[in-house]
This record gives sequence, C-alpha cells and structure tokens, in this order.
Amino acid sequence: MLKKMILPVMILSLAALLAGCSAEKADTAADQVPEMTIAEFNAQAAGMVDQIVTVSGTVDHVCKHSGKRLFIFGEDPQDRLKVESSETVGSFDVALEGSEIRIQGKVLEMRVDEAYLDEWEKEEIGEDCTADLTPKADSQANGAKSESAAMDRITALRKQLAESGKGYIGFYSLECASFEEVQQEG
Amino acid sequence: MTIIYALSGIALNHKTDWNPSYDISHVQVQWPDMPSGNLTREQVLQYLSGHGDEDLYKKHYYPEPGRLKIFIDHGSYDIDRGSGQGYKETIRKRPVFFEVNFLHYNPGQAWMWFSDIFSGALILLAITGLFVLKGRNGITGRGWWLTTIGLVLPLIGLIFYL
Repeated sequence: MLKKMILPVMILSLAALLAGCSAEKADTAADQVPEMTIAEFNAQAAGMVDQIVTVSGTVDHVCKHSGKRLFIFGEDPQDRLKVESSETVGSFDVALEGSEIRIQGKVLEMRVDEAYLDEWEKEEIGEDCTADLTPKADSQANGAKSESAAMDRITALRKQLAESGKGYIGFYSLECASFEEVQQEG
Repeated sequence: MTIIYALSGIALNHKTDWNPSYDISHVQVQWPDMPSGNLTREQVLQYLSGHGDEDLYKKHYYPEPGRLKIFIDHGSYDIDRGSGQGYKETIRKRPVFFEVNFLHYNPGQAWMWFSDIFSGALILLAITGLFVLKGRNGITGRGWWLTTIGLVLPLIGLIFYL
C-alpha cells in the first residue's frame, strides 16, 4: 500500500515544484516602473505605498541569519533603505555587501503609533540581526543596544509623533520582486 | 530531505551560540597614518595591499563622520578615522550547513510547497507506521511502548519549559 503511494506523492511534489519554477517573477513593463534614487524614494514613499518602483543603491548590510533583508545606501550614506525578500526573491547573499544593485519592488509602509510605542516600551531589545529601519532597530542600527538608548529612541519618536499631527509615523521599505547587480567600472 | 531539515534543525537550534550559515571572524587592524579628507580608491588599495587584500576591493564609504568602511569580497574593514583602529570582518559560508539552512528558510514559494508536501508525507508515514507491524512488534505490543515514549518526552518538555 505504502509502496503504491510513494510514486503519486513524488509526482505531486514534482508538479508543485515545476509549477513554482514556471511562475513568472513580478514583471512590470520597464517603462511603467518609476526609477529613483534612495533620496527621492524617501521623499516620495508616503505617496507610493503598494506601488512598484525601481531603486538603486550600494548594499551596506545583509542579514546574516536568514538573508531575508538587506540595507542599501545612496550617494549620501545617510540615505538608507531597507529591502525585504519576497516569494520571488527568497533571500539575499551576504556576498552582495559592497555591491551596487538595482531593485524593483513594492513600496511597503509600517506605521508607528502610540500603541506601537507602548508595546515597544514593554519589550526587551532584541539582537542585532533584527536590525532594520523601523524604530526599534534604528537604535540598534546606530549601534545603541542598551535599554536606555532604546528609551531615548522611544521618547524621540513620541515627540515626532506628536509633531506629525497624523497620529502615526510612516517607515518605508521595499519588498524585492527582482534585483540585478550593477557592474561598476574600475 | 529528512537529513536537510534534521541537519539545519540542529544548526538553527544553536543559533544563539553560533551563526549557523556563516563563519564570521574579526581581526584587529589599524591604519595609523590614514590621510585626512576623502580617501581615493588608490589610497585605500595601497592600504589593503599591506593586508594582501588589494584584489578584493569593492568599495569604500563613510557610514558616519569619523568612520571608514571598506567593502572587500567576503568581508569588510571598519576603521575609526580618529584613532586608526578598527577590525576586519571575514565572512565565509559554512559548507553543507549554509546550503541546508538556505533550503530550510524557504528560498521560494515552490520550495515552500514542496517541503509542505514532504512534511505531509512524513506525517502520513508516522501515522500509518503505527499500524504496519502486527503482533508483539505492533501497536498492541512493543509499538505501544515506543509510541508512549514518543508522546511522553515532548510532554515533559512542555511541562518544564512552557
């Protein structure tokens, strides 16, 4: 009975694998996808949530535990952007660090409100590979792993939240649909 | 498939003790006579040649004032410009572990579905396996003891740790 089941299970598995392999990556006509620098992205992201854009930058850090996120910076190193993996790009190779890449992906927004900050105050600061450009890990990305640094960050965000007048602060990132390494001269 | 998930399971189980996919090492370095101002590519290459890394150079930049980061193949240098002290980080993939962990983390949707189907097959084998053998080696004999142990041990774990 079991021997008879092995072949159908294998065929089913192979079919699922081939179906996945034949799935096209997110493919939007190049001329319809706006291409921008990281600085332009950071300035315009609030109005482009869930849209597909193309952004180029240099990879500064790839998460070494899962490879599911990386950070790029632009001409000005202060212009930074978090990029997350997706169903089509499952993970990023650490060897990308230092490389110039062009990423096409969907704009994601994470909203930080009072409830988020209240919850954060109750949590213990995690380890550095959870670092990203969301508020909790901003303090870690800046090398400040102490609880007092996190509390300073929370205080600063509460002030920023109060000044925003919107009831939330938006943090923007890209969900990578595809990327290519840009060959640099010299 | 079972070996892939078993091996990566062991590796990931100890991820607080080591990086299961990469061997990351740090070595102290220094650049005592670092020129001031923006460094040229040639200046950085000259520095790297002292460490035998000039052929590995990718890019350099200043993450923040007073800090220099040099990207090389399979690593980077991070140097304080004021003191000239810093470290070189080298990253190497762990053979076998990197590959099995890569698969364990679901590199794509196709693999996710494939591994779900495989896991379902394992569950099917585990359940049907209870009833394959008959007699004193089956579920009414030795099998009953083995199954009970297989249930009790996880329960003990839950009682102690949950």
